[in-house]
This record gives sequence, C-alpha cells and structure tokens, in this order.
Amino acid sequence: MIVEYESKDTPVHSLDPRAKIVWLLAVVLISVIWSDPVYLAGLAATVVVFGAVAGFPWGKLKGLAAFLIVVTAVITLAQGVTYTPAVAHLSAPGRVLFHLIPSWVPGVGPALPVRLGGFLYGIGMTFKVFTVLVAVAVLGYVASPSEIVQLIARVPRMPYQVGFIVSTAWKFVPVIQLQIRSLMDAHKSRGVELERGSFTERLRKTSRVVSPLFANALFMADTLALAMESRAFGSSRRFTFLRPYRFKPLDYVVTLVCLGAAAASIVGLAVRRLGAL
Amino acid sequence: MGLGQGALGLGVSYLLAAGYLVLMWVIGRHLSARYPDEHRVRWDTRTIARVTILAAVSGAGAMIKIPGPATTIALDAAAGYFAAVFFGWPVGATVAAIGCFLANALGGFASWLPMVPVYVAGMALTVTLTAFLAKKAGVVPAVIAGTITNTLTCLGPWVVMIGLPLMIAILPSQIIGSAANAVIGLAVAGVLRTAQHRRRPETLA
Repeated sequence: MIVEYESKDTPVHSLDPRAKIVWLLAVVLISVIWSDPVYLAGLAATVVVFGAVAGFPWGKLKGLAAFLIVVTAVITLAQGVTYTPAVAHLSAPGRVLFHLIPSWVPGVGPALPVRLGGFLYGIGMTFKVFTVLVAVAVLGYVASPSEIVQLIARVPRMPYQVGFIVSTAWKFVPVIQLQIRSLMDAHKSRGVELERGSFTERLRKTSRVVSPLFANALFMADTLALAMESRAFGSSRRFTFLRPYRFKPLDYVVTLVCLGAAAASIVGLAVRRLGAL
Repeated sequence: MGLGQGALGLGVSYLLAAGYLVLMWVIGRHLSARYPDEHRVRWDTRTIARVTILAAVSGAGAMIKIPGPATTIALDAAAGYFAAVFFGWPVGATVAAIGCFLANALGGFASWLPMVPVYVAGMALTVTLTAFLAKKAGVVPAVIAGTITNTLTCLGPWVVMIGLPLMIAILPSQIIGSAANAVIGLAVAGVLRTAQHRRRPETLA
C-alpha cells in the first residue's frame, strides 16, 4: 500500500472492515458511472473529508501526486485532441480551445486542436483516477492488511483455501523481499554489477538472482506444507474466525449511506443523466 | 476513438476479461487432457503451499527492477510463467492471478483499481497459453506468444476505453517488460528442471 496502516482512535478507524470496503466500492462505482468533472470533483471532496476524519497523512501522497499530475496532464491533453464525446448539455463539444502546436510554429502550426468536449472528459478521467487512488490509500491507512485479507476469506462461496493463500502470501511478501535483498547483496559482494552492461547482460545477471530465489521458494513451500499438515489443514470444511466481526450503529449508517449514494447515482444517471458530461 | 473510462468502456473490458477466462479454460482443458502427468493438478496441501509462496514471490518481485531500454522493468509476472511450466497450468494461472492482485495491491492499485480484474484474467490466460506453447512448440515461440498475449490483454481494454494514440506511447515498455518476465520465468523453470534431473556428485561412481 502507498500509505501504511496506522492504528488510531478515530471514528473511521473504528468502523467494521466491511463498512470500510463498502465505502471504497461505492466510491469506485460512482467514479466509474459519472463522467462530469463537477460531479467527480464533488465525489473527490467526500473522499478527502473521509480521509481528514481519519487523520490521513496527506504529505505521504506528495511523490505519487507529482508523478500522476504529469501523467494525467498528458492524458487530459491527449483526450482533448483525440476524443469528443456526444455531449448532452454542452452547446459545442467540438469547439477548439487551443492548439497543441500553436499557429506561430512555422510550417506545421496550428495543429492538434484540443476540443472542449474531449478536454472536459480528460479532466473527468483525471478525477476518476485520482479519486480511486486516494480512496485506496485512505483504506490502506484505516484498515490493516489482515482485516482486508480476512474480508477476502469471508466473501460468500469463496473457497477458504483462496483466503488462506492471499492472507499467507501477503504475510510472506516481506520475507521474500528480504531474501531478494540478501541474494542481490551476495551477488554484489562477488563483484557482480547488476545495473551495468547491455540489457541482455542485465537480464542474464538478474536470472542468476532469480534462480536461487525460486529454489528457496520451493523449499519454503515444502516447509509451509509440513506446518499446515501438522495443524490438520483441510481436514474439515467447517472453520471459524479468530475475530468475529460485529456491526455497530455507525457501521450501519456508513453502509446504508454508501449503498444509498451508489443506488441514487445509478438512478440519477439513468433517469435524468445526472453526472453525465 | 474509445468508449470512455465509464460504465460502457469498463463493461466491455470486463466482457473481454470473461473471454480471457473462457479461452484459458479451453486451452487448459486441452493441456490437462493431453498431458495429464504435468498439467492435471491435485489441490492438496503441498500445492496450496506452493501457490502461496510463489504468489508471494510474484508480489515481492515488483521490487526486482531491471533498468530497461525504455523503462525500468519489474519482475512481478515471472513466478506465474515459472509455475505454469513447472507445476502445470492450474497452478500457474492461480499464481499469476493472485500474484498480479498482490503486486497491484502493494503498489496501491496505481494502475486504476477497477481494471485489476481485467489484468488478473489477462495474466492467467497469458501464462496458460505460454505453458501450452512451451509444450507444443518450444521455449522461443512460447516467449513470443506470452509477450504478445500479455501486451494485448493488458493494453487491449485500454485501447477500447481511451483509444489507440495513448497506448502507442506505453507499448514499447509493456512489450519489453512482458518479454523479460517470460524469458526469466521460463529460463528459471528450465534451470531448475535440469537441476532436478542431474545426478548429484555423491551418487556418481
């Protein structure tokens, strides 16, 4: 996750993990069905408020935001040049705002016109991407990884093995990362320069790090299988969870508001084109 | 011109993802019927443990970076290719799917959360097709097919949604990244298989 989980005493942290996931899914759903930048800006504002209530450390998003601003600026301009949606309430979606290559460029200008409909659509896309990204970061901050993987395991009809695989794999990632670092250090201590040489040489050097990593992984898998069998993994299809989840009044409120907002946005779009560009 | 990043574009992308899964199932069924020793898997504790650890390798593989000609390449898909060739397509497809989800989750779903199911289905199809071609035609055609499939399954839905021009800019880094993962995954599978069958010095003479 971009921002690590922190255990805090805020109303958002104290929510049931299922209520937090419903909030995220509602944000994702609404961001997908709306395309009007004004509506999407409103949705982004609600995510910011949710994060602010949770005491989200906004400064940690700086690096990612700087990168994404460049990417989304490119997307917005490219959409402006290439895409003009059939717009319902804009009088002239094909109106040219400006040219990417202005008229004063001799020989080629003016060229690549940025049109109003496409430009607004691009801004909407930027909001979609940012809103979901921030919502995921806020979720990562307020819900611990074990809560999230437990939720995956509790999905109805999901085989419990899948929940086990995801939760255990998640916990093994830092162990594997440590192994990768050790293997790279071992190679570097023997004078191997992993960043030097042509691309093919770098690929060959990397495969020498990856081979022992995979061999170690298979060894670890055998040990894990032994540990699982010694605890009778799979002997019974019925299982219980260590921490049972229980909804509190605030969880009901958050869940109902999120589901209501998602339903209202779908109905509003279908009936009155609310949220559509 | 694309369908947009809204309900229509995403809906078509999910239909494509469903198509990937159907195609994977068809290819996989053929592999399991034709090569039952290698591609019919019993989901016992050992297999689940292997899938778990290889999915973790896939998730952690995002931190193995190779500076490439167009961009830095992360080895987050190599474990899926390796598992498909070494343990059979069901294991490979599961490792690729869960590994892809984990790698995306650890990166904060920076490549847009609603598209993750499409990437997951695309990776599962890619490694299954690669295992199929590795068996039928050899490693080089498998790497080429894996690279093309991975590129098409990842970028195809984006072309549907936002059109071709933006995707052309991403194409070189995507192709190089896919190829590097396929080459390393299949190479390591080959090395470990050889090591498995080689007689140890103490058993010689």
